[in-house]
Amino acid sequence: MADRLFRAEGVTKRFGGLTALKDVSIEVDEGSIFAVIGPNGAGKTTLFNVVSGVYRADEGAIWLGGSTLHGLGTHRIARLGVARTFQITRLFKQLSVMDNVILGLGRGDIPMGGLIRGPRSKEAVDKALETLAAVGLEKSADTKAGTLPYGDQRRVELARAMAMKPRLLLLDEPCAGLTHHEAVNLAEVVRQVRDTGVTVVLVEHNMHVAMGLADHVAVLDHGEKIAEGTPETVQRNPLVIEAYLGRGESGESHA
Amino acid sequence: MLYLVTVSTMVCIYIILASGLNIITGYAGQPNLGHAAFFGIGAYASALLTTKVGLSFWAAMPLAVVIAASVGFVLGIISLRLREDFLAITTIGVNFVVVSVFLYFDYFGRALGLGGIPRPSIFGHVLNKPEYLVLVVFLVAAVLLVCWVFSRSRLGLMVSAVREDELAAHSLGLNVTALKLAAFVFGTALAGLGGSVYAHFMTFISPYDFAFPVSITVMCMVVLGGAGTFWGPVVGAIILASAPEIMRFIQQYRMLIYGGLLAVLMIFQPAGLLGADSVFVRGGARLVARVRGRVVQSG
Repeated sequence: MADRLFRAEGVTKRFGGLTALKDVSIEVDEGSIFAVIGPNGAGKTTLFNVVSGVYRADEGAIWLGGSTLHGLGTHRIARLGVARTFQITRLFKQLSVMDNVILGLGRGDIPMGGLIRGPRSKEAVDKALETLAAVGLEKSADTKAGTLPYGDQRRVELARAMAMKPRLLLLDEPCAGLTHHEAVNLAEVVRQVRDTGVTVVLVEHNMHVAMGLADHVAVLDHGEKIAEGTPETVQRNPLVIEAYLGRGESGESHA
Repeated sequence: MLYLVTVSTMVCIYIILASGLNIITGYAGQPNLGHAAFFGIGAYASALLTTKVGLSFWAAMPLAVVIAASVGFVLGIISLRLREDFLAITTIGVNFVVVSVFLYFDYFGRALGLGGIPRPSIFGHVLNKPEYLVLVVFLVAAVLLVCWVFSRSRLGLMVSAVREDELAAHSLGLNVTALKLAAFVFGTALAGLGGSVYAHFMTFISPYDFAFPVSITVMCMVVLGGAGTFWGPVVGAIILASAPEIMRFIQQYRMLIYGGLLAVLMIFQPAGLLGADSVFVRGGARLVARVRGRVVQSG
């Protein structure tokens, strides 16, 4: 059995009267792909924002390896090895693709002398190109990131996160807005990232993608974890089917 | 001749101010509508250190830079956590408060200002205006060199990332607050330098030299030239600091035309004359391409 890399225990997050996450616990094995699925508004992105320090959990504990993430600022959590992408891509649009990826190198921890020197050392450029090649974008290195097609922008964001050499990679709906073909390619890249030893947690609205990719799945609905297990068992769970398709006669689904 | 020297010196001072503001607003993306406050702090610090403490210009100038940067540091810690629009309003407030302090305390000469500020001297020789201009040109060159290194550095790239997307910068492990603060301190230090140079050029300063409209003028220079570009603030400062002199014959319509030009520019060239998508940059690129093409054909 692999070691647990990531643990969230009893995480609760409230916004005023709304409980976005209620007593959610998940455990992720090192080197696995873990999917958090659930209908819109289930609290998936909130969970990511709590883990990456954008929000602070009201209750509960979050651990990466032996260190607690609870209460740390976003950039400190990133420096511990948590990288993420966003549901709606957040690239540095005016900067080149290469600069976007270079900014991920070193997780922001740059020695004083390195601040004054140019960012494009041979070592940095090589690493960035290598990362871009992994997502198939090495030819676009000098393009301004904001001018790329949307699917490519998503891949740049993934490359930027990969450049951090994270221990835990959080992907927020990586396939949202992609064509089927692009989504299949991206899933393959995610698998390759996992194979280099990175642990991946992804939030996915698209059941099909999540089920095909994940080793382990947790299902959120209205901020609560309603099911967990391998993709096969989760798919057969009546609670999950109900959350996704609603109660009632079959065929009346709106999913 | 002396008139030309005076205008040139003022252009140089504005280049220093605009380059400083460009670090804060252009690179780091933090609106600062109170840049003149730090200009004033540098000027008053340098004036007081020479007239009341008895230091020479050469000692007072670096101290004025440090004092302006220190005030920038403290105000930055307090205000840089604010969102953009609130930061803009806060910096306006800072400008008014600083001018009020100059007006209120006897030590700062109140509305009468401070006079008798000495010109710098070298080996006992007091610099006259043209000689002072030579010194100022060297200072501008030094400032531009530092800004150039910054714009090409990893630090400059990280600061630009903060401007582009704060949350994304955070999640790459960048200490966004520290980067904003660094840009703010750097920019206000340059404003302090501009202030010191101004005080020892005019030999007399008063609070209204550093009032809110000056902040707006410097902001216009940065925006006109192209915020976040290296040459933008230089071009903007040259145009806007010399235009009122060139357009002297239109007298009271000056501000009208000035304002009208800016409005037109914002509508048609929001990124500034040297910014991305500017007609000048695209036109220049096309020209270079055409010349190259011709060289290739003839060669």
